[in-house]
This record gives sequence, structure tokens and C-alpha cells, in this order.
Amino acid sequence: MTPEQWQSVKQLFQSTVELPPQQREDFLRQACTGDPSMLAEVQSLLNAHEHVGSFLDKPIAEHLAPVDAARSAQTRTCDPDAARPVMMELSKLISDYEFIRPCGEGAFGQVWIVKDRAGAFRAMKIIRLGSNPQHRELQALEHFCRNVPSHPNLLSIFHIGQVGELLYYTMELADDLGSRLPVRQTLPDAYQPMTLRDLLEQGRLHTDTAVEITLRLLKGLQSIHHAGLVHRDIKPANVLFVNREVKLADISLMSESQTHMSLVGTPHYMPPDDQMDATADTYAIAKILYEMITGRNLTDFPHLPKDETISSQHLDLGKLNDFLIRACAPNAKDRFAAAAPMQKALLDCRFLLVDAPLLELANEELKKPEDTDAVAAIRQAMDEHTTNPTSKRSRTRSQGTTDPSTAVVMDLLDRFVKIVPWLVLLIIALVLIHRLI
Amino acid sequence: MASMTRPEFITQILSKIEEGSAGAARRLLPLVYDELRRLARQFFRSERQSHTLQPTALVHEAFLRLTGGQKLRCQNRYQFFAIAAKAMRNLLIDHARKHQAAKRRGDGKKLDWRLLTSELGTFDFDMLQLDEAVRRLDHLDPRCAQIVELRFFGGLTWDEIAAIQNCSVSTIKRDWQTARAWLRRELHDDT
Repeated sequence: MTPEQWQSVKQLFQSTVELPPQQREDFLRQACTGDPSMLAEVQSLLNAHEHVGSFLDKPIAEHLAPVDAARSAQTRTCDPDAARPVMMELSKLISDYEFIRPCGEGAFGQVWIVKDRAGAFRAMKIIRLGSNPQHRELQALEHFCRNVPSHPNLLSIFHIGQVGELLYYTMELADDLGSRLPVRQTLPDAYQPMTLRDLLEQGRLHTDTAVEITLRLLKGLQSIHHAGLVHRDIKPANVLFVNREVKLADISLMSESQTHMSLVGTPHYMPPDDQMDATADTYAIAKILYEMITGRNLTDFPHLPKDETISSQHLDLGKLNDFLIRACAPNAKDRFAAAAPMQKALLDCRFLLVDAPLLELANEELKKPEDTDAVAAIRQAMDEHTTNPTSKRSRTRSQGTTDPSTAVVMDLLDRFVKIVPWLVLLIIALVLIHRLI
Repeated sequence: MASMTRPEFITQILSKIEEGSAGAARRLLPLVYDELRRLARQFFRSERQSHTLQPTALVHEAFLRLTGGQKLRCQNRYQFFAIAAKAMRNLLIDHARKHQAAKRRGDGKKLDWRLLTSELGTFDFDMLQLDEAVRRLDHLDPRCAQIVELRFFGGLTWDEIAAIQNCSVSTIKRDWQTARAWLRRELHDDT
């Protein structure tokens, strides 16, 4: 068939198919009088059209979607009845804990809510290791538990155990999403772990709150980076609230920063250059901050809401904007290299709070960990000054002045006077030697 | 390669296409192909499936990554989608071909990309035969063939396809109906 012939076949097909089915045959026979090949062609197309069913009805990618949707549905609503036999089995295997109900399912393993011997509620992750002793989760656990000191902004791991092929570990249980309260005596029926993802689904956060959450996350992340590790999967779903404190969770993808890894992580929170090192973590944190402040989809980055204003009395929004742009730079070398410099830069976005008590500001300065000795010395001096004023006074009186800077000058003068005779002797000796020569 | 896929570079190529440089599209295709392959691998093979991601967004995602999310003129955007759809088709067909070859050699297990080995196994037609048929349709009616490419392989919306082909949505839908019937006949001779 030539393209020209096809055009007339197509036209005839399209006008026929628009008719009610019972009129099609007559119309077609009339139109194709004296052209049986055309009649046969259009008839076979009509026949195929009748049988087209779901053929090519959806784009190819959508055929893949239900798999994903089913998996995510499973994560949110774990059917307790279906879980009962598994629960019996697990209770037998891991007898130290009372299994309450499943709470989520990832690709690696299940998360259960359990009660320990002391009656405290915990989250327990259970992974089937299979025949793989080098399971990624096990390696991540080793890295984390051996190297990262416990930190209030990192989800704590309490107990790691293994029964046969099952690896399990218990963690802090997130607060209840509905009541926003920690789980203490009883587990609410509708318990859902409170994550930043859930919070964001309810709307955007106040800029100050968002920055505060980010600063705390950066503190937690800093101790991971200090240990030479990278988290690699920072996203709102992995940010939990426990006892009203924000905590970075899910160490499954954690590894040493040098390790060359295949592309892992979650799109949108991964940098476009796929550098999965510490700069990927800082990138993800910045994306979360953007999401918290604007409440917008990450694909909108770096656009800001048009109709609403972002305001804060405590923050220089211009600086904050520059901060976000830098933290989300497409090239790794332009981004923050680790959590510590990023935290500093974010702190620099705050206005100076002129009305804040001076002592508080000083204390804030003293909290820098790198000069702990100096901090201890200054603290001691301040304590002396505030708690024991008499001793201080007596010392200053002996020096004959109340001004500490004068005391320093006096001290220097004192030292100078001591070395003057020696200097004079040295000069005389030099003069003598010169004369003799 | 990484330095080549800078957003500016992509934008530059896209504007060249707009100026009518035929070679420019050919230069962009492999870049988009690589990007899609990387994305697809990450989406479908990764042990940790993301729950937030819609696989339908593959082409849009590739677009965002390659252009760095910067604003593009509408026409540039559509041109990109058209190329991305072609890249997607090449990607799927290449994989189907590899999969068949692997099956013939008897080491089908080695192909761990789930995209075609499991999910696409549910199609009641052969992906390579479909590709062949679309090629034949292209000789007969290039516009219909492009609609198949944009719709089935690229996952674009009717509005987007209409913008690319510069005609109304109803015309596109009529042509799509025809193309579907034609392909169905080509692939299922028995009916």
C-alpha cells in the first residue's frame, strides 16, 4: 500500500467508525463500490478496532505503576489479621519481645511494634539475611553502631540480635501521629509513626520552625559525617519525631564516605550529579528545608510561592535564599561539603538578637566542641565571678586595681622588670667583646 | 559525559533544534537515552523502591534532570518530550532484544533489570514485533507513528502530543484510534 492509498483508507475508516455499528456495513459497501481491496482493508481495520480492548490503552510506564502502588499501600496499612501467623512465628523465634503489630514494610524487611521486657514500646526491624553474610543492612548497622556516638537527633538503636537467618534490631518508637504524643503506657489503636512526611502532608511549616528542624537534623548528621560515614537516604519519611524531638532515622543505606556505591536513594532528594557522598546528604537536607518552608513540590525548586509570603523576624531571608541555592547546587564542589559548614552557614542566616540576654549569647558561643579546654577555663572563671565574688575581689585588691585589662598590663610590666638586669649585663658583655676584638 | 549533560548544553541543543538543525536532535538523543536508562535502572532495579515516585514521570524526570529544572520555552520543552519518547522507545526495545538474546543463550537470569523481564511479561504481544510494526506504520503515516511513540512509549498527555504535532486534540485522538486498530491487526493476524 502506498501512503496515498493509506490516507484514503484512514479517512474512510475514521468516518465509518464514528457511525453506529449497525449502519457501518451499508455505509462501507456504498463507499467502496468497485474497490474490493479497499473494502477488505477497512473491514479488517474495523474488526481489529472491535477487538482492540486494552491493547496499548495505557502508556507503557503506567503498566509498571500498580506494582509500586500496591507496595506502598502495604506499607501504610498492614493488615493485623494477615500478620497473625507471622506474628506467632516471630514470637517463638524472638522470645524476648512481645509482638504487637506490624508497622511498615520496606524492600529490605519488616518493621514491627514490639514491647520489651520492661514494658516499653519499641520499633523492631526484621531483615531476612538469606545466604548473604555481607548483607548491606548488616554492614550499615556495623558502621553506625561502632562509629557514631549516640546523639539526640539520631534515632537510637537499642538491641541487635540474630536468630538463624533473621537479623533484628530495636529502635526508639516514633510519637503517635494522631495525638502527636509519645507512646508510653498504651499504644493508640490508630497509631501511625509521626514523620516529617506526614507533617508536610498537612501543610507547610513556619520558616523559623523549619530552620530549627533543619539545624537539629544537621547536628545529628554532623556526628555521622564526623565518623566518616554518609547517610545517603535523607528524606522527610526518614525524619521521625520521638519525645517531641526530631530524629534522623533509617540507616539502611549508610556507608563509608569513600565507598563507591551504585546509585541509591530517593529521587528529588538526590543531587543531579549523583555524587552520593556527604554533599548528597547536605543537598537532601536543603531540599527538605525548601519543602518545609514553601510547602511546594520539589519539582518547583527553586521557585517560591507567589501568593503567600514567607516571613520571619529572626531570619535574613535573603541569606536563607542564598543558602538554599548554594546547598542545592547541581555540582558537588559548589555544595556544602559536610553538615558542619552547612550548619554554620544556616546559623549565619539568623539576625543578631539584640535584646537577648548577653550571658545566653555567650553560652551559645561556648558550646563549640572544638575548644572545650578554653570553654572549661572561661566557664570556671565565670562561675568564680558569679558564685564567689569575695575571692575575686580580694585578688583584685591585692593588685591595686579592679580592671582586668590593667592587671594584664601590670603582669607584663612585672615580667619585663625582671629581665632588665640581664639585658643590661648582656649589652655590657657585647660591648666588651667588641672592644677586645 | 557528566560535563556534557550540563543543563546549558541541553538548552543549547534544544534551541538549535528549534532553529531547524536536524543534527541537533540526533546529538541529544543519546544523552536522553543514557539519562533514561540510568533513571529506569534506579527506579526499577533498586532494592529500595521509592513510594513517592510515579514511574509515569520517567520522561518528565529525565527532562528535569537534564535541564536542571530551569525554565525553558514551551516549544523547547515539547521538543524535548518528543526526543525523550523516542529515547524511551529505543531503550525498551534494546532491552527486549537483549532479553530475547539472553533467553536464547539460556542465561535469562543474568538480566536483572526487572523492567521488561517481569512486569512487561504481562503484555500479550511481543515488544520487538510492536517496534517493527511501528516502523512500517512510519513509512505509511509518519504522524500516526509519532503519536504511538509519544503516547505509548513516552507517556505524554493528549495536550502535549497536540502541541508537538501542532493540531487539535480531537484529530490526535482520531489518528490514535486508527493507529491502534492498525497495529492490533498487524500484531494479531488471527483475529
